[in-house]
Amino acid sequence: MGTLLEIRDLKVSFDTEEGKVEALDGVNLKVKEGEFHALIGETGCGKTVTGLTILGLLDNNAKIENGQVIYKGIDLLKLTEKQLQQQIRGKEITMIFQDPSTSLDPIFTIEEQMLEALENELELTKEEKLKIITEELRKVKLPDVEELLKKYPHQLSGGMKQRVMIAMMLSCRPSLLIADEPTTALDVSTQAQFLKILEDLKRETKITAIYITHNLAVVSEICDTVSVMYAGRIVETASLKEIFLNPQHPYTYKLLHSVLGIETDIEQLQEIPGSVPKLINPPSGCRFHPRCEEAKDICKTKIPKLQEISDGHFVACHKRVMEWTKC
Amino acid sequence: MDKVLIEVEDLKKHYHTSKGTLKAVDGVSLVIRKGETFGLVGESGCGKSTLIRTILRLLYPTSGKIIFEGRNIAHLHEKDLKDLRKRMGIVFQDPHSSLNPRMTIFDILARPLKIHKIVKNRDDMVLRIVEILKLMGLQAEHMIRFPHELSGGQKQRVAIARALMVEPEILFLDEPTSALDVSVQAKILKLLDKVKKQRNLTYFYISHDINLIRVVSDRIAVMYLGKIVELGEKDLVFQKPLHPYTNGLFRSVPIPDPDVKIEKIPLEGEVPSPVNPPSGCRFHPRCEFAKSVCKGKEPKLMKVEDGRMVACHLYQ
Repeated sequence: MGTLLEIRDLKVSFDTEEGKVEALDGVNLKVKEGEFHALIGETGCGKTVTGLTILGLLDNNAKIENGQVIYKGIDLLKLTEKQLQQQIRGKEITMIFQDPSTSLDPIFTIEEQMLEALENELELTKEEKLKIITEELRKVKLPDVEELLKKYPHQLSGGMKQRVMIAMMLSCRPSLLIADEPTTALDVSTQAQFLKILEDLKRETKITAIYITHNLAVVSEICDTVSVMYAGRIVETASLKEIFLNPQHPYTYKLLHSVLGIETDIEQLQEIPGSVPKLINPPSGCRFHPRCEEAKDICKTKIPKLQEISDGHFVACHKRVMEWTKC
Repeated sequence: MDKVLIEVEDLKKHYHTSKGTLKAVDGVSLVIRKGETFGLVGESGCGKSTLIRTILRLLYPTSGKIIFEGRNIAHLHEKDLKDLRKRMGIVFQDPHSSLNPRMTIFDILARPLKIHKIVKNRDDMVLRIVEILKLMGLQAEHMIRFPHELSGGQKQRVAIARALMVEPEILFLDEPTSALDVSVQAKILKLLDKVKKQRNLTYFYISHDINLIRVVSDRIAVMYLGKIVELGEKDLVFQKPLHPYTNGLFRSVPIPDPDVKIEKIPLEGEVPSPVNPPSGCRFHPRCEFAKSVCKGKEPKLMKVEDGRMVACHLYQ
């Protein structure tokens, strides 16, 4: 499998009233063709910012300080707004967000909004576009498609709206999907239906996805590779099985064992001491060191690099890498 | 453990809307025992929040009984509710909106003490507030802060502290961790567990998170469209859910294990509107085992074996 997208040493900061926020500090990520790559982490770790940077959707107060985002050989960070809009967004890379009720415009019908997504397809007639739209809506198992097209977003349930979003993005035939917490606003039964649809898509269309979430259980259902983020950096990347069975970074381990469902007894639940640091004045060295029970002196001063310790398993931790080089 | 604290009998809360009567809670009966943790699970819109707000008498019930320590409080007059407010506490889902942004943490925590005239003087008040902050793992200096200066987890600790100020018998916890990150969630759940043991409290959790209910509860109930469909000892219900809805709901939960995948969609379709709910058993249009009796007759919640009840014609 080739690499579809590669992020190299990406640094993004935000100017705020309180100071400069170092939201991303040297993110390295490789997404292979055809895989579902999970980006997990807690609120504020930078997973959404990573997604928005890829598509050039950052706010005005954001500054890309360093790095490259290589997609099919092109550095996306060098493209102009016009190039991004005409060549990349929707057509090549598309994003679906957490809350489908805010992604859809309440004053337009589903038909009007789905046609708008195909606006750049100049060679298609309206009839051809409608045919594509109906087909895609059927693919995501929405009933009574003709009637649905005439409806407004408020007439649909949350699960249906999220499926409309999926159909809309599919109609543009993108190669890469960035899904940002797409099931967080859904109930478990609707979530199960949604995950099933994604799984079918993955099998049938071979689409690649970056799946941003904090929910490890959802990750274990549909993702192939997992990258764990903490305070603006990737601390571990490995296959799904490796992450669950052989987590290396102390943060990954703690995170896994604070998940209800992995632990079913309240006594066994792991606590991570302290809280997620503010990124205005982030801790020096390894950003996890103030909360890490295994921290050594070197962790306070030197930033650990993401290093491969076994085939496809990368970890950014001084202690783990040292242990690994010894044996 | 077996002493009854609250008994709810055929409780109903209906709303009149332009489209018809919305039956948010439609004939719920349950018993809460002293010292237990009772967990109520259901999807959004099933009526679980309305149910606890009605039990707490934050809402006026349409009909039914709520017996709290031997007294029916369902139709008590507003002015007689003050004593009740002291005995039953609630912690809401979102601490960002449940704490007044213009009050300091001290004022937020002092208010219940003032309202219920619990303390004699200001020194006593400060002492109690410092003590509760310590219990919650916060520092005394947090007193002078405003909610926006605290993290989500810290705010939820303040919300729990506020509920505990008046030393209630029972705490209702309405999705107390769903606005928080997983690592913070683990801390809050452990804290709640510690406080419960220290103070011999009774907890009534409601959540859509089945894993959460599984971790915290002694007994659980499953709610669907305003009704309880299954109720029983947690271990029994999780080992072998009897109601087809419970079964489907539990199987919809993604399991955090890379070797286990959801094979087939456990629950097809969506929850119907509570304004015109399906006749008979409300779950029948989505139930693979539905028989003709399910369409016509509403199943009653009945005891099927020791420690569990189910409302389904398959077992009656």
